[in-house]
Amino acid sequence: MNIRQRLVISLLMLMTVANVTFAQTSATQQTSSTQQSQTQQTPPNPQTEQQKGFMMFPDDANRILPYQLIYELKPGETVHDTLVLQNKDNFINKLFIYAVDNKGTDGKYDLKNSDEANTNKLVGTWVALPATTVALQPLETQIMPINITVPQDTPLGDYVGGIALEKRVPAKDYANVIIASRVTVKVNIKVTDNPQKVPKFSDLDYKLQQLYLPLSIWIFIIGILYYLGAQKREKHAKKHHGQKH
Amino acid sequence: MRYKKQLFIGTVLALSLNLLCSGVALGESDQSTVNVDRVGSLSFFAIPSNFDFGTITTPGARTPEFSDPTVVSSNLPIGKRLTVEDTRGAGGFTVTLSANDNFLDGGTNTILISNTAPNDNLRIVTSPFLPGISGTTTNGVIYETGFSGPSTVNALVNTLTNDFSQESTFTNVSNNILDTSTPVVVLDGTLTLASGDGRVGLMTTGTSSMLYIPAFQGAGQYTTTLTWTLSDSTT
Repeated sequence: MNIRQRLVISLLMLMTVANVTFAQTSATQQTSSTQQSQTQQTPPNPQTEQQKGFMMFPDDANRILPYQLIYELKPGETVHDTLVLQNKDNFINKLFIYAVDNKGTDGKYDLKNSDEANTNKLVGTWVALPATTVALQPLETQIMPINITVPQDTPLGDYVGGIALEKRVPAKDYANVIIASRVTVKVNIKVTDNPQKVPKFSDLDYKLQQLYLPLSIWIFIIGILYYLGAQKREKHAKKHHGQKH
Repeated sequence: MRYKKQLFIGTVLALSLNLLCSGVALGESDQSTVNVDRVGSLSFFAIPSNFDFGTITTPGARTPEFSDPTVVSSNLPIGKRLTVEDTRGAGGFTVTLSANDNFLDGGTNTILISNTAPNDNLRIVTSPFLPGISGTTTNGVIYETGFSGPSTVNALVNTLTNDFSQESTFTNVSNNILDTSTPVVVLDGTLTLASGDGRVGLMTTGTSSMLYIPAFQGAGQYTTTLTWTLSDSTT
């Protein structure tokens, strides 16, 4: 077997392994895409439409906990990021958005309510949002930038807070309990003198995934053709060798 | 040479199997338009409507009032439905309920809310007794038709009865007393990311509440705000 044959075999083996790997990393995206297409195909009917809600998640997801924000920052450092806000309803949703401290103890994630002050001057005050309210049009997606600045005098350590997107149902008919509902994105910040880069699902991954199928088909076809060619050449060589004898 | 040939043929076959047999990688060609909803979504599909305990005369003793006093052996109103939609296929979630404040009447009167006696006045329960929801019920949570993934969400304030006019329905459940500082965990669906067994679909439960009116409580129109919080809970 010559060097070219070895190269082709190596490539094919690599592609086979990569096939499985890419399939695993993209399993969650398949379901989300299905959901998105279903949402877009639903004909709007505000009169009878069931409430479907709203959601918020990191735009550039990290690989550790993709549904949360994770940073390693130095005291005094600022990071810029973006959140995705989506309205799944066929009507306008007027929502409140705010950053808030965690009040949970022993590692619990219990965010303060909207009317509780961020008296601890922690993550709730470190996050700067461009607005306190947002009106999402039917089925609209908005990208909201966020800036997170760790104060210069912050002691090193791990800090937790959150960003909440909240809907408040106005009181009517003398109801005794008014309902607010919110979805949150947890913000985990490690304040350290030696911050490490948090791995993200960068755009390169998606481009590679999109390129993977045509690339693997081409290599597959080339591999088959090369194999058939090699077989033919080998038979030809054997025949030629036999004739000589 | 023979061994290398076999290896070569095996590799080609493995790759062709991957490509031709409904491989998930093939499915990725359908994802090329996905540019926002990269990691699926987690949202409230339905939130219970405002609770109303009605109008009562100032009692001479601590008296329970119910948000659904007419539901004694049937389903809760569909408006009391709490539904979480998770399409991420990975990671877990929790739903908590917290009281923003005590019941206030706009003046000086207050009905205190605390998870310790004697102010343990507001309680919530969940129940799968809801009309028209098709699916499989496990531990008080209805996994609606089409759901896939582990049915391991704990409804931590779940009641097994469907009589929401009885005090015992609310007092026989643990950790269901509303407080202004500590939220009640209503649904706990925590999962590990590494397990790779996330959920896709709708998870539903019904909700009902009870409020104790303290003895000789001053007359007034009392209100408070309860906040439902849905958060990722992935370890």
